[in-house]
Amino acid sequence: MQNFIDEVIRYLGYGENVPDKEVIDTITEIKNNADLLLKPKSVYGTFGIGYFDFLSSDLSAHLKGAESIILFAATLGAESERLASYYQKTDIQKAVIFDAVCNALIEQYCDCICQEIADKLLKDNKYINTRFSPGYGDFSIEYQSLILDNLNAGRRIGLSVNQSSLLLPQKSVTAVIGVFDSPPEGKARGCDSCNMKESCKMKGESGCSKTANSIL
Amino acid sequence: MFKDGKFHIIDGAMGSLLQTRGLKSGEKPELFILENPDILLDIHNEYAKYCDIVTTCTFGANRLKLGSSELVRKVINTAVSVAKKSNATAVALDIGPIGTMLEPIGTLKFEEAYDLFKEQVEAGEQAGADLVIIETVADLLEMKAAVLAVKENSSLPVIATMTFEADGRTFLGTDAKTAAVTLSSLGVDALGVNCSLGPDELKSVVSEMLDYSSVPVVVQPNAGLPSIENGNTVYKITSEAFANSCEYFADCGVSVFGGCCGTTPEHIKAVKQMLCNKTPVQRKIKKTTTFCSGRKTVELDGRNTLIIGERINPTGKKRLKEALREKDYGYVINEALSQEEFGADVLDVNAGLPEIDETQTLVSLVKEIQSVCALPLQIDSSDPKSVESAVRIYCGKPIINSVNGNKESMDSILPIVKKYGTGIVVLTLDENGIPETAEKRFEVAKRIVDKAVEMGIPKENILVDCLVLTVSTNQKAVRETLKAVTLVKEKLGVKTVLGVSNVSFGMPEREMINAAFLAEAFGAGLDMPILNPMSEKYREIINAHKVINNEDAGGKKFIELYAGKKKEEKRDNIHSLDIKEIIISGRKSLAYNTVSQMLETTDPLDVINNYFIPALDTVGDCFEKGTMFLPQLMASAQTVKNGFDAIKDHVGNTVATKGKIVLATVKGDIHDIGKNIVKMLLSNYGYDVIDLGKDVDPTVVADAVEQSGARLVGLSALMTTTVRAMKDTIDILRERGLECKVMVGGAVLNKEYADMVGADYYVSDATESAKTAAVVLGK
Repeated sequence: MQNFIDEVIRYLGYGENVPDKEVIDTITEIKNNADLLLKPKSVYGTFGIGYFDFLSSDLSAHLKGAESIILFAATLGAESERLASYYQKTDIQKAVIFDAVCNALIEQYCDCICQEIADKLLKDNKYINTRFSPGYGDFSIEYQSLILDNLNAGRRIGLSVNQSSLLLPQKSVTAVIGVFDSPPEGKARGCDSCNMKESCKMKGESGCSKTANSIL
Repeated sequence: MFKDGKFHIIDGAMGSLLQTRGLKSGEKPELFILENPDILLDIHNEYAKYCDIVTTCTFGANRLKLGSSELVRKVINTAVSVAKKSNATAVALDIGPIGTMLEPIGTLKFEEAYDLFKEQVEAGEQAGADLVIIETVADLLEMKAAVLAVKENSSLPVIATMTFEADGRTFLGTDAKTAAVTLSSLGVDALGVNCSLGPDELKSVVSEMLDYSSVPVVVQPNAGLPSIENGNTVYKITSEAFANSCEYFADCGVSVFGGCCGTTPEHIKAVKQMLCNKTPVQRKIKKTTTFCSGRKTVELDGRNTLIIGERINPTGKKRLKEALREKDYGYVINEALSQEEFGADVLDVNAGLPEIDETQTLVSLVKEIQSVCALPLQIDSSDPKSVESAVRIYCGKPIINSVNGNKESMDSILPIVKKYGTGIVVLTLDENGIPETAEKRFEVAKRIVDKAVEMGIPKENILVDCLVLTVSTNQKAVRETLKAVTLVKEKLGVKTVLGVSNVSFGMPEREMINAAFLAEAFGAGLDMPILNPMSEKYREIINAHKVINNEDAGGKKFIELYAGKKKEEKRDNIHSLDIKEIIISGRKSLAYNTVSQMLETTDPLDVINNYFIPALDTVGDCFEKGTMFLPQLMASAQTVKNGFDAIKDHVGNTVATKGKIVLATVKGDIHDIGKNIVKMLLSNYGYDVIDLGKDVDPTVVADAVEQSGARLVGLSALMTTTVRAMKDTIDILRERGLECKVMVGGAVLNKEYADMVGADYYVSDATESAKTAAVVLGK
């Protein structure tokens, strides 16, 4: 819980500063409410190499040496939209905090599902690398719908895109993950491949907002 | 066609069978079949051996997915023609969800969704389909658009099935009971569940539907939960297991079966074999009075009471009138949410103000309230056009308030009640006014109820209001009202409502009289009082009544509320704190009272200029210096907002503003929290903000600027894909020669982007936008 709250605090732009108790209490209250009401869902599947990796050169680099790939999609669900709207109409401070809580939640949820995938694959001596999402580098966000279609994500988890390739519900992630026969080189994705690098206020800090659909 | 007392069997999955015959992963089945009609016919014939209804391969055949109306017609025409060549008894036009989300989560409008479905339905009927199946829908409002599109544009029977999750709700939060109540009331021919999970996980969903559906129930499950391996979707439930589960459903009362994802002709064959020695079970359908939103059903089962909140009605409410005029729906939403918090079960919504467009306001209110509040709504208007417009876009089964004994009223309102399957409040008055005696009121009620029932409106949907007159002018009449309630209930067998508060008009200590009257009305048989749930006196009577009426089992809730609790003591004098301090420290809950007290001695404008703005400036400076952070800035902003509420309540009007600003999140973009933060801060500084919302068309922005004469426009875009729309918007503003400055902001933006799209100012955060406003419009 403390790690989670620290993450939210970073999303809220505190850097190394410590918020006062009231803000921390509000974060805790909103996190508890979110845990109660939100039902995150995910869907993923394995696909052969050669079908998706050519979509962008950065994605190809990410998948170099992979023996197969995993398409992945996750969402906090429609209730996250409703709650966001509720907070925005009743208390703007809570709305801002809820937004950060959702960003942290979807990341945490994706990490958790990916860990499950990694554990499963490890039994066959296979390894995965990190999630690479549309919007990273030259991997256009217009590929969101291709990932969703291949996973049948509309039916499976209620995730869709609008005409501008924005995910609906907003607090969602799609990604491509490489599957390898040996542990891939542990190269974390840096700020350079991020499409927000020009304007990001957290650039260079630990724990930036990594979600493809992040807001603040 | 489903009321023949027989089982009906629909086919199973199409997509997975097409994949075994050459359809590639990610390829559209609707386009594949244009080239491969023979494969399609083969599959239909495989299924037709075991089922009587085949569904066309048109799940995604809508204009949004296929790109053109022409292609929609071509696909549907081909798909229906091929299916008709098969050996099946009937061909069902298949309609799936549109594939993008409707408002409020998405941006697709109800009417746009309706038009997409309409194209499909017209093409399907022309091509010779025998019925329509709308399936795999998760949004009840989208389903409503589709059902109306079928019923208004064809004469085909319609099956409506939705998809549910393990928690018994759709992705958008609709439970099975709510789906069954709403779809039954819309007059579908059969309803049920498809896709979702495997058959075993659907038991509770199906059982709720069987209780509440007035039409046959359909079950078309998946062959279990799939996994995707090497690009292939794999389902694991065998045909035997599938048929076994279906047998359970048949024994519970389900009479229409089929399969969804992963099912094959083998699955359908097993179902047919399982059904061959059975006949459908006679179901016991609950005939209770039900109303619902998209997420919640309330029910009068003959033993309980439901409270209708009356506060969203501008009559006699200065502040609400002002909010409706200004389209300040945030205020109305807070009224809705607080009534919910104080125990309302249904909310009455009235927008009857002479100087506003009632239809448009009522529609907006319904949309706004149902986006955040789960309570069912009562649409309160005497204008048939407003009533129908609001009921049409309502998600769920609402109540209409009201119809009376005037021929004109009955002729215009009752058809709407019938068509949309809503509840209806019947007023016991007619062209001769309100009858004096209980017997005469009963007669009026009977006349209207008989007419409604004759038109096919179920009695359960009818609520009679015997009308409360004021004790100060019509003392004798009050007793008549109570007598009429009893008469109507006993002799007509319908439920009753009463607007309670009117009784005390013109008297001192109104709440005292209201409370006594409410208690007597409960005694006379009142089911649904319309009242102000914020009134503590009412709540006391209601809570006590629920104990006496054996609704509150063991008095549990009552004891929880009142045992061992003294009346809350008045808080200490909090007003010793300076409002500036309160704002800077973001103590949101203190602002309203402190400001109210200040207004006794201080001019509202002075409060704003001498207290609010200096405090906001201090917070803004600290935010820029990095000594305060976003949550603190927002706490201060919310505090000022609460202070403004006190000012608005005090003067009942807007205070003089410093100029108008138009704000919008641009076309295609749906992220609006950033824009809402800016809006809050700019309003705090006393600017008049015209908020156009999200996904705003460039022309709408230009129109708003033209009409309002705003000299500053703020545009927000969050993604690289939507920055283009920002440029389009600014281009239109310039083309029309509007003399306004444009500021832009959003996550992917920077100064260069801002210059590129032709903006005058780039603002990196909300405090910057306030500074820019000061530069353009003056402080």
